[in-house]
Amino acid sequence: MFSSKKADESFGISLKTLIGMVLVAIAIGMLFIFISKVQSGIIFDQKFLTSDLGLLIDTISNPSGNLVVDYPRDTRQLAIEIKDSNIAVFNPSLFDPFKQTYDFTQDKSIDYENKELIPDEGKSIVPRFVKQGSKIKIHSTETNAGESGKLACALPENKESLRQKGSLITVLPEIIADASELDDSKLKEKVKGADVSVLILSSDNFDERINPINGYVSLSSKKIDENKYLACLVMNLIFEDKEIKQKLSERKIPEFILQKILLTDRYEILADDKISIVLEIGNSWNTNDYFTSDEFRKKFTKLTDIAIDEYG
Amino acid sequence: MDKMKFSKLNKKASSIGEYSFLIIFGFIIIIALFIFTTMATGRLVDLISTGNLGDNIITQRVFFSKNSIFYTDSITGRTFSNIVDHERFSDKTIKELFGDKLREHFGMQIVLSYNGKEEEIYYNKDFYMLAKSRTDIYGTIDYIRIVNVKNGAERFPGNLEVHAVYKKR
Repeated sequence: MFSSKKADESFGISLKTLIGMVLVAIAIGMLFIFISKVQSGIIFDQKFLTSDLGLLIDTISNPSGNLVVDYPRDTRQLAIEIKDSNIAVFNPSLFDPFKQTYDFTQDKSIDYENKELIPDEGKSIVPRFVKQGSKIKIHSTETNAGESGKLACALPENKESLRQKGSLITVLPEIIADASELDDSKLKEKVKGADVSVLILSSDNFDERINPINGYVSLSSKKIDENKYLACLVMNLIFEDKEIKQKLSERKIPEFILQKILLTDRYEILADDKISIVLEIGNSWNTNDYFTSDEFRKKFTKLTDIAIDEYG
Repeated sequence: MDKMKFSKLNKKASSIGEYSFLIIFGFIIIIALFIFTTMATGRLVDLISTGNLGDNIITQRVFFSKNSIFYTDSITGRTFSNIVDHERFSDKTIKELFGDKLREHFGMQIVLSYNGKEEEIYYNKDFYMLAKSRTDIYGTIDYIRIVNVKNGAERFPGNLEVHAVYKKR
């Protein structure tokens, strides 16, 4: 009898202590999460990004022409959602009590695409806003280079095979020495006639220490995702090729930096209904004649072929 | 016997006291957390505040948007931001330019004067009328532009005045 009473009492004390400990643990936990978020600047970034992206949407709603804007700031692995004239920035991994929102001012004649962009684990989204006619869309350029320097190639959803059994496709790998060649009617005919065209140009980056590889896809293409995928495969192959790396080093040309695949209306030569891409490789201020040499031409043709095999 | 009763009562009182202490302690922690987070986020809001940048940006929409009051060539699709299309000069055009629902704390008056006439259109007229005389609370943005006015087949030189009011942040 005595021992059971004692047990009851000790149970009572332990229950009280337990409740007290849980309360304190919850309070300390919440405080810790909040302080660590403030300290890491995540809440600041969430608030900043929300209002900055909202103001950007307001701004790109104003001009009458088409435009493409790549958001230049690091989005800190946060997710972005656009829904009914509201933009939200939040942490995608768990319930986020610090989700931030901003109401942008919708132009009724513009169709704003509702979309949620969730970054892959450990990566940040690079939002790209495209205003075309009366539509504003937001894309994620998941193709920014990772730690290895390689681009992550996003497989298109409805990809048609290029190498179906028994079917022949015409591929046009072409190196353009000068941008004025893009107006050449013969080249335009060649691009129209090819199932796949990959054109290479030198970039004219003013800084000769920078040797970029950029991909360009037509803004009005019906196969934007397919084009981006093939561009990504070719760019990675060129970037990783040991022979090319060695040639660059022998000629004291700076190493390549893989940059982005951009939607553009700059290259009218690109076919809209076929796979057709332009790659800017190297820098015309430092690459002398290597990228127009027969040696590179052969290499590039071979790599394009491998990329098409990888494409499937 | 009395001693035992007294000690029982004493224990009961102390257990009520402990529970009350825990509840009060819990409340104090929650209130302290609330005050702390409000202060910290309030400081962040001050740091990030863009003031009335948003109001300034959307006022520009009147001058540049394809869907504004200006003339668009139906063949080339080009919008002429110096030619006001009289057919489009209406409250409805301006309302659609800023979406369906009225933007709170933002109003606008657009005055077009040409050929000896003066015409006005409004966005959120009630707010504009209320706010234009209270510049201590509300800010103003004013633009005047020389434009051409296309009224049917005729064209006239004219002035376009845009007066916007917003709540100061």
